[in-house]
Amino acid sequence: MKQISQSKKIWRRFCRNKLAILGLVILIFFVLVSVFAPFLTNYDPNRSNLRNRNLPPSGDHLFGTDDMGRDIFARTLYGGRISLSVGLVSVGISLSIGVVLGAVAGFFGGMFDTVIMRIADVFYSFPFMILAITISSIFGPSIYNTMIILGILSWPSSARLLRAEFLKLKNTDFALAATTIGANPSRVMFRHILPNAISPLLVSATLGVASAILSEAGLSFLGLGVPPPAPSWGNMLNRARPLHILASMPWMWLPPGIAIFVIVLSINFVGDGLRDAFDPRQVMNE
Amino acid sequence: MWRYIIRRIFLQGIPVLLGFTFLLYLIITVAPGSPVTHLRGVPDLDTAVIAQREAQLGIDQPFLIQYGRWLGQILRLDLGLSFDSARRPVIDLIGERMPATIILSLSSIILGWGIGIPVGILSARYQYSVFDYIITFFAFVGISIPSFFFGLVLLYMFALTWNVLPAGGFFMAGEPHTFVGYIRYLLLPVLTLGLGSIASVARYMRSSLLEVLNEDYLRTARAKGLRENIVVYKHALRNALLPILTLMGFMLPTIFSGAVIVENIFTWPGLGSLAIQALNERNYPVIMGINLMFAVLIFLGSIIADVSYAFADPRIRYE
Repeated sequence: MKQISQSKKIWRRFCRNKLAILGLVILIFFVLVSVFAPFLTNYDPNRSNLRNRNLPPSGDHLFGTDDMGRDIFARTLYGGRISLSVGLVSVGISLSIGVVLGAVAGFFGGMFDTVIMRIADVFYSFPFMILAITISSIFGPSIYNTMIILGILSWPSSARLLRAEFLKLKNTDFALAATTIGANPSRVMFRHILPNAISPLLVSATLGVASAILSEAGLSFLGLGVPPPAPSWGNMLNRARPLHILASMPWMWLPPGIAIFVIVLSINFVGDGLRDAFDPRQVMNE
Repeated sequence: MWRYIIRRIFLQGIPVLLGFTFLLYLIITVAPGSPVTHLRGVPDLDTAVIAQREAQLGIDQPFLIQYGRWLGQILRLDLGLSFDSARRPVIDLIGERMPATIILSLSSIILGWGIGIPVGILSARYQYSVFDYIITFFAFVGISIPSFFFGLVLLYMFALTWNVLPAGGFFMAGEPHTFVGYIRYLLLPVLTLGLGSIASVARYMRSSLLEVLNEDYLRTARAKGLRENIVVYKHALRNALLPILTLMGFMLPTIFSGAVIVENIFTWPGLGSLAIQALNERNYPVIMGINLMFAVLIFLGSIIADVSYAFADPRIRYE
């Protein structure tokens, strides 16, 4: 019988989940479209043309124009760049804090564990949005501040996850063996144990990107995330909120709203598919 | 039992709450600019005057002393005066806005749990049926759709196009508070805020029940010839509902986060819209007060969730 590698098995299990594949395809589509945005539209997303304000969708302007005469199709495409980069960078920040603190708490235990986990509780037990808007308004809204705020406020979930994995893995034979042959703690933690905890971490990071995109859009919707004129889906929705625009010009708010919804939905599908694929309890009939 | 509750409050709750006040004070203190920044630019102003003003405000003291002093004030429920021209006590402002936020959040929780639990149970009972697939799909939609977009869609349909529900607010001045009135004003905001809870409660309920259904004691129940409905709705459900109780404590922060956005969409006169208004005016005492208020509400909510869990699960009591 031919040996099948672990990653191939996981990939096969992932492929059996139709929603996960659908999500992956849509996600790749979004990434490509925002990376190649300049090739897909001739309009500058920030260039206003006051003669062409509030135009409904047409051959010239696929999604119409907004109240400053900017092309909404172009703004929606470029908005994807902002959403994806805020999502990825903020998850990167929260993972780097969460991995280190979670690993230390789980591996060393005792005082380290108590202190780190109590700090995590403080962050965890708080309405994220209220703290985020407070910090953002104090330091001034900007795309970088948004990334930092989302990253710093969301590390506790990856820390908790990794702590649990480390508690489970630190007494396994391979970890004890590594310690016995004289590997120093940081080597045992990050070279021996961490690779075995990578799959739950990957799932939580994927779902984290989805919630970071939602949070960025929410902050920008409240005017405290990515500030205009940069095209973010959240601040496009914010701009379309006056009731007369909402009632009579749906082309201004439907594209960014649907874009956020579809990208978050597809990432959630992928994350859920990964969770099932990594789950060793899933029986595989090969 | 009481020992458990007291331990829960004093060893876990209070330190977390204190930690939060510390974090909040730290953020406000490291904020760029201080109350005397504007004095530094004034020509011919003696530095002694600035120092005197700093001493008056107490900001020449070390950080920890300032924090301790501030903590002493808030323990006496003295949240200071608002920065705007009215100079009203922050505690009064919050007291006025709090009922609207509580009504909104509580109604959304009732909606979320009231629909999510039965839907999740049926979804698990008929696992892999068409109903289960539809529910699973809609649960994904529910957790993925941003509340601000869903709210705008509802607003567009029910208030602006069909004109059957108010576009926002909570009772006009002088309008009588009737039950129908409550429903009319609450419907759209509560649906917007509750959709996410319906979806996540249904997902948790489904997986919690499915996990219990694999237990040995259920095989025993089936083996002794009990009907499947009794096995599921009586034996399994009681145990599957336990984790859902703790979910309550976890979801409270999410509900309040959502309330900030939902109140903003529907011009709901609660703490969330007060927060946005105060942030736009840089009215820091009000902001601090609202943050603290939410922290206390969440603290109380998680205590209630834990205590009800302890009542429901006898295993907790004897630990």
